[in-house]
Amino acid sequence: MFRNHGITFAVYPDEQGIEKVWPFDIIPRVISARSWKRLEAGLKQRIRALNLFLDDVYGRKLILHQRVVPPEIVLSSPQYMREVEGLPVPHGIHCHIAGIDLVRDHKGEFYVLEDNLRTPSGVSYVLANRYVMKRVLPDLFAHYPVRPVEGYTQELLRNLRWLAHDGIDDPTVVLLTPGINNSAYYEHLYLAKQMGIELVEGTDLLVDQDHVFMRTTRGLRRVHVIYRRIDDEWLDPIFGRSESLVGVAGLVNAYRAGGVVIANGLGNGVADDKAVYALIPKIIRYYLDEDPLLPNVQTFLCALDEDRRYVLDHLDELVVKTVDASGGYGMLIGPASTKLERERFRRRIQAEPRAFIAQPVVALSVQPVFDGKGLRRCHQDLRPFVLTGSEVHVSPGGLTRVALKPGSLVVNSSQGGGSRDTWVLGAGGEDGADA
Amino acid sequence: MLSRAATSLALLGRHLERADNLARILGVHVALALDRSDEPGPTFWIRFMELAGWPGGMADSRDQAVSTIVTGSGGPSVRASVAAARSAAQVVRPSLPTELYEQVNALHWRVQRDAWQRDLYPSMTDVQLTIRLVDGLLEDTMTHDEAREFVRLGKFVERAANVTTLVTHKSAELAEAEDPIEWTAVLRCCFAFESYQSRYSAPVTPERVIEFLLLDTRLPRSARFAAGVALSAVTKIDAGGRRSRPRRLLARLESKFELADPAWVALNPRQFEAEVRALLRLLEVALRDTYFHPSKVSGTIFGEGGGTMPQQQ
Repeated sequence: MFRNHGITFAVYPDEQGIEKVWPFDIIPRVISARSWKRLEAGLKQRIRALNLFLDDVYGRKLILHQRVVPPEIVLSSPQYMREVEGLPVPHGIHCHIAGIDLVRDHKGEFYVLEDNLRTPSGVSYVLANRYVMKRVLPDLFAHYPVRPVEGYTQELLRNLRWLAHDGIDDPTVVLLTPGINNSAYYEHLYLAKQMGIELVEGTDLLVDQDHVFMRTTRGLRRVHVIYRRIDDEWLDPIFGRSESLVGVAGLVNAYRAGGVVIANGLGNGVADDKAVYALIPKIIRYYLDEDPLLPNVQTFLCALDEDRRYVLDHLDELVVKTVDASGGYGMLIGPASTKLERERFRRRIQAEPRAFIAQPVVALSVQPVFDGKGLRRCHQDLRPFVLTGSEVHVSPGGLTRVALKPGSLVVNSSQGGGSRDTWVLGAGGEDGADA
Repeated sequence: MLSRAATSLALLGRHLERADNLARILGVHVALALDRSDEPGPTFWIRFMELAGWPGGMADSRDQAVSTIVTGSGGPSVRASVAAARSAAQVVRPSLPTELYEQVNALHWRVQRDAWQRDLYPSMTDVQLTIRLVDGLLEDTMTHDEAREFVRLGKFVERAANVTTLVTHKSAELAEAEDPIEWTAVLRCCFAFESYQSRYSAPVTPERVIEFLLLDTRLPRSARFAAGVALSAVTKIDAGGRRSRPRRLLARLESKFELADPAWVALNPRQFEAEVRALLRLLEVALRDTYFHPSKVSGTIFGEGGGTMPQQQ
């Protein structure tokens, strides 16, 4: 069903990108209404604080001047963009779409594992998983008050239109994709279709006099809001990587001049840098004067001497991550690593400490998966999606990713992971066992 | 509409029509060879390959011809055409009804399998019927807007070219012989045998077949009908405004069929084909300049070389 419906993803680093059917497990993950309420509040709190943080570090930098967090950690982030400093963004919102990765330990406590504030992907698979579940096991839904996941795309479209500058009654919104070989292309076209907006590639756009236009059969048409699914450095060959074939020359200047709105904003990577992640509890307390509702996983910053010593002494026990990598790449899972791999990481950490963090291995919660022959236990995580417009909205559930390889802790689809439908229970489902 | 999307929509229509045509003429010629088992002639499959757009030397036996037409690469084959249609559909998926994309996608995966080796007829029928289903979805579920017109433009320009090729090749090939079996096969290649019988209630003759397949105004498989639909699509795309160059060229193409004399075409098939081909080449350029790449902004600003983007979050 997934293949015929074209629900696929492409895997790097193949030269052409290999189209793979989205791996799906038929057993849904169930989250009680009570648990979800707490998660939802925690996620909203986190995103509010992160938006305030982004507005501050690209503005007055009060949190850095007051040394609430170490400026050297924040400003040394490879994702920090000086080009965005002092730039007013519509409604002060930098992060419009976020995917927050959560894990659950063996005691049932949810932790934030990482934040994805640049171009988070996966929401289309949430909707596709639900679509398939409703077709395959419709009777199951009759017995549970499962909250619907429809509505995400309409909320997103409403927010994107809301971002257009004042005076534009009917803004043109487009989704900018790197193209058909991108791993998340299915998602890009799915979202564009659901929102009824054009799915554009870099070559479809051009910048003239700091305004952005798309090439249509009737000539050039002005674009007001771009939902971009291209990372900062590839977005504009003049500003970022000159070899970028997927970007639009002059786009960043148009953004700076206010000729176009881009969502997510530029430079968000500084807030989902894995080293800055360790500072988020302080960030929440500073901006909101509240304790974090969702805890972080304990994190060691290799940039700090004491933490680095500990990490180097305990490489075989820790998970080491590259601060700006995603998709499960650039990681060392200590207990599963070889001596050679650990030595390689040791040298890399010593050479460039700021580029690494380490965390203890979290005993991720497990849930059975059906592998075609029977049931077996697999680790899983959860990526809820948070939209920020005039209000912060969390889509019920999110993407539950499953490490389908026996014993694996890596849930990324690009590395053998799969997914399952996530059921958040509504009225009548306050209690019950969570998975 | 994005120029790139318009290009892909036209390619979708073109490649589906091409796959349909190849599946159909292959099935008809395989059956025709059985009728001619006593004397199919040493050049039968060579001529068929030329008709299908391949060099004649690519295949001189039934098995080679079937394999090449179904799965060949480097030339027009059913598998390559369906794959190209699917690639085009992927690019413009937001503009297409979900069910339409799914039919093209599922057909692609079926054609990738080797089921045709076991039984050619059901496989080729599957290709043709799925494309009929796609046609129906296009008409019944898609907004009749610019996107639909570009699909129709690609499809019917391809059809006009294919029918012209079929009729002129066969006219040249069968010049010396009034062979009703061969001319009936020509009609079947265009789904037109039953319509022909209904229209003429008379024996199959070359002039009537030429008249019917090239000049008829009501047969959806005729070249004139196809040129008329393509013209209508471009007229709608232009939305009653400018009289674009593609529109003028398609009007000329339609007139070419309207004014053609079947007897003259029967005597001069190659010349007629060359004149139609010349018009189609001009049309390709005009479509590109008018709709597909209308902007003169240089592409070199996008850099050279490229690289691999990191995995998305």
